Amino acid sequence: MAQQIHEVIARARNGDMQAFRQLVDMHQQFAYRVAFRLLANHDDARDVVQESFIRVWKNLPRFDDRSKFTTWLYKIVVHLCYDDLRSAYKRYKCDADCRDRSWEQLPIQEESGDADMIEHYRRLSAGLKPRQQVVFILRDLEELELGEIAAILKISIGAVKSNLYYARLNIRQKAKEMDLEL
Amino acid sequence: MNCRHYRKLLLFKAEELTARERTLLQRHLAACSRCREQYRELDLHQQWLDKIKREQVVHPPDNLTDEIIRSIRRNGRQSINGKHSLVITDRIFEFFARGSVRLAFAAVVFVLAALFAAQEWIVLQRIQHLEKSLQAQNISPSWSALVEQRVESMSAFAGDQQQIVIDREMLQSLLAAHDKLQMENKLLLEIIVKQAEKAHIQWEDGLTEGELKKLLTDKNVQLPLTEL
Repeated sequence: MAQQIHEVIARARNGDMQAFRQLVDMHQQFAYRVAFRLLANHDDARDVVQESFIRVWKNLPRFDDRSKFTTWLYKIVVHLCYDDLRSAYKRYKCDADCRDRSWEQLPIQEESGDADMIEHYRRLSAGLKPRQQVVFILRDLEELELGEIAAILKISIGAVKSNLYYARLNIRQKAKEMDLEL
Repeated sequence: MNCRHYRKLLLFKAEELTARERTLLQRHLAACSRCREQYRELDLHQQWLDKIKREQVVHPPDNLTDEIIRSIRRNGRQSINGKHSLVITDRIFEFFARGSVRLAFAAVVFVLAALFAAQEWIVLQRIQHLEKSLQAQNISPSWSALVEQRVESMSAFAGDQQQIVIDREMLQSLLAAHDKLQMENKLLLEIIVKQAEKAHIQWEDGLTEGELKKLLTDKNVQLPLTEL
């Protein structure tokens, strides 16, 4: 599989658009899932994935074959999402300062389902700092190793653990505040 | 270490703790019911996350790949590092789509067409010169008639027949016209070469047979030539 990906990358790097299409087909679901989990919005996730693959295309000549392609793609997707998360966090802080947190009081639907789980998570993670949010998603949902997360975010493993700790703690506390049965 | 510290550790998965931390935590949980209760709550949290992972199957839009490829065609032609672009056909298309390149391309085509026309004109002039030279020697300007005449006299080429005087310019005209002339003219050329091989042509300015052969070889005229 790794060999196959490297062959496809080599062809795409030489300008073969068919090979690049194959590369997109192989990884778009993964990229979309990561973006969606981070942004919890289909339109934003689609935009980020689109921009991510444009960056992949432009930077393929710089891609180091010794690296793992998915790690590289994670980096691109996460960094693009990070900008959106920062904007969202600023909006959240503004709302909190204005004491307008009415959206948190909305009733939570009891039915299980994709949309509800997304909504649950969106509410729980809304107050997390962008880095905490990213670390939490990459570790607890994407199940990446701490070292991989450290490499993607270019921070130490200690910093990853610290962000992870605060993310989990905040989510737990918010779940309790919202009286949410997890 | 107190409960507060162990509750911090509870927020980490077993594989995220050191062996020592794991051992100490297990011992503490065995002894502390409040922390065990906390642990159970966190386990529920983990189950919720597992449920998300299991059930949240995120499908990208059906046409996402096409959208990405279209975006790249629209925006991604210019690479950041200048090394990478689309496939060669796309790059050619993109290159010629630029207004300035179109103008330059048209200018180049015009110049090439002018050069081609000039070359054609030079060839025509040379042919006319050849015709005049042959007329001056009382040789029919009709190529086919000339060929017939020369073919008829081929058998009589014994060494003292009428010789055709060909100067260097005339030969150059013949060679230049080689590709342009009709078949009978090619035959004429063959006759001339044949005669040259048999030393029946008198070279006005001392062009040697070796030089002639080189000129002809340069012009891709095969030697020795076939018999007429």
